Amino acid sequence: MAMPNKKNLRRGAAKIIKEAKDVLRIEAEGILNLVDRLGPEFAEAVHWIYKTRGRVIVTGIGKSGIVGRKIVATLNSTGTKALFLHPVEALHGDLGMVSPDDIVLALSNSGETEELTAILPTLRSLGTRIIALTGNLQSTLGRSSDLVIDAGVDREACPLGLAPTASTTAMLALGDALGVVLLNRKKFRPEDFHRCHPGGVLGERLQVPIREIMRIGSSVPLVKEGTSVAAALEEMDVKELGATLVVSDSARLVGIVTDGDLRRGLYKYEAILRKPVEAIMSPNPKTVQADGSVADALGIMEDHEITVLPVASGQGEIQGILHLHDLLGKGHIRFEP
Amino acid sequence: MVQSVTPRGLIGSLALVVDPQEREVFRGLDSLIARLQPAVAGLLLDPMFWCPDVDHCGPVTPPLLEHVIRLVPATFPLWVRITGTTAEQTIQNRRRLETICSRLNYSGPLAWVDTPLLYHSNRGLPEHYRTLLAETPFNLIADNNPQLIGKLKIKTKRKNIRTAVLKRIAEEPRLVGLLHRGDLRRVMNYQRAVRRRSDFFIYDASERSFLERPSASGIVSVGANLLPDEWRAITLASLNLDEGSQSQSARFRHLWETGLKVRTLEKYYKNAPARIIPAVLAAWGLIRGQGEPLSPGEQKAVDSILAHLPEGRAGR
Repeated sequence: MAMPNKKNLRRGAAKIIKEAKDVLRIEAEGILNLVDRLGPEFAEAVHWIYKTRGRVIVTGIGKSGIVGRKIVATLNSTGTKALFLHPVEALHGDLGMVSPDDIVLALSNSGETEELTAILPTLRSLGTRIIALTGNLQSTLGRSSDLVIDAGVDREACPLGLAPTASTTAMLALGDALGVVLLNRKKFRPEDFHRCHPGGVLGERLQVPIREIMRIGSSVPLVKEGTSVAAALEEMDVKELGATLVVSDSARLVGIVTDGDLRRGLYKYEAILRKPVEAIMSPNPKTVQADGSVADALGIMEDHEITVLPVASGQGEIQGILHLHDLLGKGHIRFEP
Repeated sequence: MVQSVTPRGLIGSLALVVDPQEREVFRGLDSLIARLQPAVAGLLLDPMFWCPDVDHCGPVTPPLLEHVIRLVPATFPLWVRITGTTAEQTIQNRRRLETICSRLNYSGPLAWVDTPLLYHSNRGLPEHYRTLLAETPFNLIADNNPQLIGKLKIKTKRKNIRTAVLKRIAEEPRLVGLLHRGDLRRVMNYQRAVRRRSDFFIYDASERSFLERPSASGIVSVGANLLPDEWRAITLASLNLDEGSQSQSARFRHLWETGLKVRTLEKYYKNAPARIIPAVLAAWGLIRGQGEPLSPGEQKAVDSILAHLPEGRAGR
């Protein structure tokens, strides 16, 4: 087989780039088209959603359904309660999730999607307001909705309707516009965003070194070997961690007493308070090193089903202590967003 | 009250094949309309396209319009070519055809179609269209057809309607659409020019363009005379008007195969559709007699189409 020469390769690349640019131009024009056609009905839709006590129920099928799911994600991320309703599932019982206070955002380029138009009468009978995002204002969807937002484009970039391109991009962009405008109206703050994204914040926290969040110094519950259970109980009560470490005379970690150990001790000994802590402590507890990450500590806690973890050097010298809540930012150590 | 519906979708350019002996008689008109009408959103009557000699082609004649109006339902959209050799003659053509509409008490969704640059420059076009539309109750669709203008014996300075001119003529609310053949950049400029008119439609008049980057308004198709159902399926899919009706994989496969068939045929007739398509229709027995003699290349194209679609396949 003859190898293509450089000139042919260049020509081939130029053709590919031209075709790609055509697609991008068509999609960009589709959005610019919306800019000029955006009317007061969009502002009305924002007003309705802003004022509603209910949720935004987004519905659509096929590619419009995929766009709908992204709009749900955008709205939820920016402080507007939203959920996706599949039109077919709606017909099989999911319509029960819709309440009169909700606002339905229905997506269909043609506005004639059978599965979608089939649920419109029920939605109307529920008293739910319907906002249509469609490229066909005179369609069944358009005519059955309380508000119609024009999502029409002049041209698609893909032949034969195999993959809607400009029309789905336009709908997606309108969904983004809706989310962002609502975000501004709600005066959504960075801390609100973090509240909506615990996964993201937690992800960041998991990378934090243990030494940055561990409890140190006088906040570490600590008793020496030979101390009575009564004294250990007092230490646990004061330091509020549900546990105390037990150290040797040379300050090496030898054990830990937890609420669980106390429970078991109460069952085992009648005069438990006068017993030395060694009688009820768990010897050689699991530890983590200060150079490890929060993820490491969390892994140990999960594996051994414990909530308190001593931080010690390789030689058993105590450096601090961690509680599960500290890892999650809910305890003594809090994370700034 | 005149109906002012502007259809979206497939507009079939009805094959108008003149009988060489009787210039006013179009061969097989009734059977062609019966074949095409159920598949299309509207019919274009464009003798200028189907006439072999562009410099001597006229607009739709009153007898032709009367015949078609009597054949199609009163609510069926008709687009009617009125272009003359001068501005005055174009207005005169429109008046002559309107007398037919009045006589038949016809008030259907009819729109005039005009290629202004065939007889008028860009300069003064808004004023001309204002005059053209002043007396008529029907809408108008402009045709931007650089290929046709390029074939004229008298060469013109510009082959395309200027974007700024389109913007001005689109201020006239009864100019409701544009037929466009040409490059993507130009049509995007046109789109921008008329963007504030949500009721203005830009149709692809080039089948090849529509098959690659379909206009959301629709297509004026000559190939629909050969494959009406296939063109209908492709147009509905391209305009996303048939979503969700059947399983996606079956639908895509059907569309892909249909698209391939339509593209293949378009390649055969694209160089001389006005001569090749009537010859195929005659070979299928849909129109009587022989047309003008074909060149060897045209005959080869006809034979290729017939090999793909033998006679028995032609009926709807």
